[in-house]
Amino acid sequence: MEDFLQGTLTLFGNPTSVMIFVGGLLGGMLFGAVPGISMLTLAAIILPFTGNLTASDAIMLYSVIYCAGVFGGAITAILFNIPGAPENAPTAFDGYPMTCKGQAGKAVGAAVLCSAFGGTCSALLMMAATATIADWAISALGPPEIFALVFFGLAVASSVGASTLWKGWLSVLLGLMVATVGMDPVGGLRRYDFGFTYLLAGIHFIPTILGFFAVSEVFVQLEKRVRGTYEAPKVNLDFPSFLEFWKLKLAVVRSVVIGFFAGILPGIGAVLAAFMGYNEAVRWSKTPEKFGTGELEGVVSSETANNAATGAAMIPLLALGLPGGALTAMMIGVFQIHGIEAGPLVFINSKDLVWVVFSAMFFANISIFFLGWLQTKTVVHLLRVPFHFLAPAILLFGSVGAYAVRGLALDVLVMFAAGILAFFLRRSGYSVAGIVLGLILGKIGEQNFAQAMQMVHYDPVAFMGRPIAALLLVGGALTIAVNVVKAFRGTRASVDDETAEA
Amino acid sequence: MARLSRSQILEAAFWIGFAALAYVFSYNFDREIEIYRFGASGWPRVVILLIALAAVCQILQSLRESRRNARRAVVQITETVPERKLEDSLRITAVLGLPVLYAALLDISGFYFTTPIFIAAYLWLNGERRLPWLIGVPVFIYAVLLTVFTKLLYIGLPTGYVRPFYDFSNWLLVLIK
Repeated sequence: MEDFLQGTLTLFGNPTSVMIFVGGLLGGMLFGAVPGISMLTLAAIILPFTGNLTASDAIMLYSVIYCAGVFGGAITAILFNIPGAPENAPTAFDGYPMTCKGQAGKAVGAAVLCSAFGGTCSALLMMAATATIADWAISALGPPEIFALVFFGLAVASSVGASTLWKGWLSVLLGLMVATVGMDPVGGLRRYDFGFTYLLAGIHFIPTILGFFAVSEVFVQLEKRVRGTYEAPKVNLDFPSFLEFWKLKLAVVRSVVIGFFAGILPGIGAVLAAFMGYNEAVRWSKTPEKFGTGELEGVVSSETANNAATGAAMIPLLALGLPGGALTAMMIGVFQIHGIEAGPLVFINSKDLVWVVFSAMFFANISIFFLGWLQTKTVVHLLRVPFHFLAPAILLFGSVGAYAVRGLALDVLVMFAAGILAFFLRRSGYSVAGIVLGLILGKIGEQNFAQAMQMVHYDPVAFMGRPIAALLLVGGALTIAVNVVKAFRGTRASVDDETAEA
Repeated sequence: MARLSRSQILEAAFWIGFAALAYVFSYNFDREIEIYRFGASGWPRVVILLIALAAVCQILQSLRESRRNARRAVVQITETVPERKLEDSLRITAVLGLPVLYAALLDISGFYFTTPIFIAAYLWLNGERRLPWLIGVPVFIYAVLLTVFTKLLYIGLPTGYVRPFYDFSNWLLVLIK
């Protein structure tokens, strides 16, 4: 507590630090909410200038941008089906259908509240247990557990968003297949590159996600306009009531726990957290079929989990020097610019810096609650603009976003190709969410599977000797088995009904 | 008798064909890796096998459903099929194709020259015929894009490599910065 107060005093006792805090907060929210750019764009732009700041201000700025940016990406995901970052992708699954149903205010309001709540809980947990959790995570979570977690996530994801279980599986598997393009993660052999240098690094997920979500959505809406079936989304600023949130209390708590523990995993943190939070909401729901059609619980689960991961991502970063994602990797760069080595010694040599970061993240999440509310009241009005005016703007912001990743016009082409593919797949009842999940988790899954098999000397039974891995593998297998039985029974039952009727 | 529709047959053929092609191409990297027994092709081949399996299960389910629908058709002889006009289909093809053309031209004629033309063309394609809007909206979107990405964020966008597009892009960049 004393450390926290000291950190807060250092943060707010210096006008420059306050200005940097507010700038990071507003910048993160703005960059997260503008289609085509993200918090990573802002973080990359300011990286060279952080050398002029004190080490504590520079690291604090990045931690605030991280919290605010993860929230900001939810707004475009909900209003335009454009996730600001991969961790906001599951928010779009139900957030955008809510917008189409005239419940944009409710969806964004839920995102504001849950982002603030998830982030604040995560910051408190981070302050209380960074050292202990880091020790536990390193000893308990190895490649077998991460592979098992990916397997479990994919097993649940196959049942979301598609018209049949098999189309759900085909969607996930297509994503996994696309993820194999490029160099294999063990030996570096070229796979499915067909001689193109561009494909050597694999198909980048940012253009693909922009194509699958934003571009395909523009095409779907424009097709409706051509066929005369388009209905403009109604602008509604009704926020969710306290009662609606109270009903979802279990989902919120579950997502905080999932988000926090998934966030600790280096390299996959917030993305896996958001998908796991969403998947678990589907799995525990009494009406899983409603997910993907505009279920408030979907937005709540995803946004709570991805923000809960922000605090947790600081644990491996500060305690072990391992980045949890692109932005935390840039933070390692900031540490290096200031001649500090991220890792256990930070807690001894730069204790003040650590507590300024902890305090800043805590107050950033509290601020999201108030600023997010104001942002919602203004940004939702964008929906009043006729869609055929918005369409080229969305496509162009997406194009710039796709191009800016690597400076390749080919990425823009990939984005549009992904958009056309997703347009046809959506019409045939396949799940865009499943493809994206397969694409993002494919490489992580393969890499950890390979490492795990080497660890256990190719003895799959050894997975069962690790309690967490065993639990997740059995859970995933059971989920698949139950879904397969349901799929066949469902069809058989409907055939039998028809026979009886005839 | 249970029969699959043409789209279901096409879908099944697509997945089986995709799996077969992916399997054939996997021989290109079917080499041993010293430190990893399953090699580079192990993981993709498992995914391919699962794709084929899921496609077969999807066919079986479609067959069961078509059996049910065949029975239903006896009771309900006439079915309303939505009429699809050729003009609509052509417009949708253009809606999908124009952005691809835009992306293909980015490297050649550059972002700065191609973008305003693309916006105006896309608006026209989507039914906007009022001249003030056809000019005003592209100017507004173009100005926002240039201000945000070029003036404020210094993001380098394609300038094109063919003259006079390249010269135009450079002239505009000097003017903005």
